[in-house]
Amino acid sequence: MTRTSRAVTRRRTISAAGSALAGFAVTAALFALWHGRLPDDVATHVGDGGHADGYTSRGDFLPIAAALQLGLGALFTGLTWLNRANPTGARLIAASGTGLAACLTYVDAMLLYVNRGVADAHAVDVSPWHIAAAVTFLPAGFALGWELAGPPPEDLPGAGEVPPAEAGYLRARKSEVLVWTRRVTSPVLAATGGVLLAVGVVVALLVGAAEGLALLLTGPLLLLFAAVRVTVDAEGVQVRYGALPRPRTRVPLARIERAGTCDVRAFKEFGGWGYRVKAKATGVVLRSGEALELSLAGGTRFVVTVPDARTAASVVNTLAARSRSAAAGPSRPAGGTGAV
Amino acid sequence: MLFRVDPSAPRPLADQIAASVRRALADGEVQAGERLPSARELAASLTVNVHTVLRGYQQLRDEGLIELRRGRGAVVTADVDPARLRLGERVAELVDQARALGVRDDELVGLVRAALAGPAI
Repeated sequence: MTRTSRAVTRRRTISAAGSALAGFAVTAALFALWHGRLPDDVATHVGDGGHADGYTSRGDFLPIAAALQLGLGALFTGLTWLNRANPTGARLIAASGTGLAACLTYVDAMLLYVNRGVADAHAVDVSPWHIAAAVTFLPAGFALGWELAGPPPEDLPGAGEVPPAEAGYLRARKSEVLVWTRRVTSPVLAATGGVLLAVGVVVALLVGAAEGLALLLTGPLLLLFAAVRVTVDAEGVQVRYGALPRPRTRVPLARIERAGTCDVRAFKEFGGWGYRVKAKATGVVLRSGEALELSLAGGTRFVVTVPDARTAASVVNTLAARSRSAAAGPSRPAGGTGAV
Repeated sequence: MLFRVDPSAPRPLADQIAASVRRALADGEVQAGERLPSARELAASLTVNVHTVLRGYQQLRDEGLIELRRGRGAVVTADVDPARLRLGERVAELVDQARALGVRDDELVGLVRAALAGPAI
């Protein structure tokens, strides 16, 4: 049976909402279980050296946990639904929601665990390993959520017509194999990632491995997105992050209506750098400026910042037209500027 | 950078791959320190054998245009002169054109000699 867009959207919203609900259910169950053994004021914030330094009354614990876990769950469920036209984007958002739910559930469960049976919450100490575990629950939950959210639908609309002549074609013989490729680096992400990594190492050495873990995890993640390779070939457009074969982003030729160039304002349009998801657009934004813009069937866009985007776009259009004329007999755009 | 490879052309595929890189270097589109795509990735995209790409890269290495390092891949060397590269590309085109016209190699060399000896215009 083919996975329809409707079924995929349903699965993703359910996975985002379900993980938040399941997480809160765990918190509520543990609260009910240990309720009688909790102190009047529950330690809910841990400061220097793992000593408790912030407290919440026992009666407020569950409502606050509910507001946080269910509130964030509702937010991510809503975002998953709003981005349903963007298959990979919605999967990322749903998976992030599950990751956050897992992390928050761990934190709440851990707080209840360390507070149970103590007479005075001021005596509560939290091992740095709990913090490390809470941080690792984030990627672990994300990986679980990624699987729960499931692969993209199979009924995505395919582009019908060949790209219009004004979109720009490359002058090439029909027998020529064309491949355009370019490495793009982001100074902003490279610098931020490098600084985070360096600070992480210092914190890990001076303060403790657990405290530095979050920085040691975030640094490489940013560095991964600091250098990407964009390739246009007969399969479509592909973005590879860092030097590894995965993860990668692929846009098949069959989904591309036309390619063009645009001028991206990283902060204004996409709210920052990196892999950006909007309701109607996905962007791999490494800097502001020249970008390859793919108009996809179904009305969404894919944008990736590359130099020489005009050549890249002309290669995409030429290859898209070739693949379509191969599928539906010889046809050329009227008044095309070059041989296809 | 744009790779153009025509399997139906008489020029060997490895030469065509090397020529694509030379052209990008000559146009200043690719600069010193830039990393070329890995041979495996490029071979998959071009739908040619990985050894064909490696032969092309080896040509470029022998010309001193790129360095091939295990693990780091192919990196453009610092001392690339775009103008000289353009000249080299035009000589390669000249040879292609002569072969296509059926001009023998010694005839072509003779033509070049004559042009070199001839009066400057």
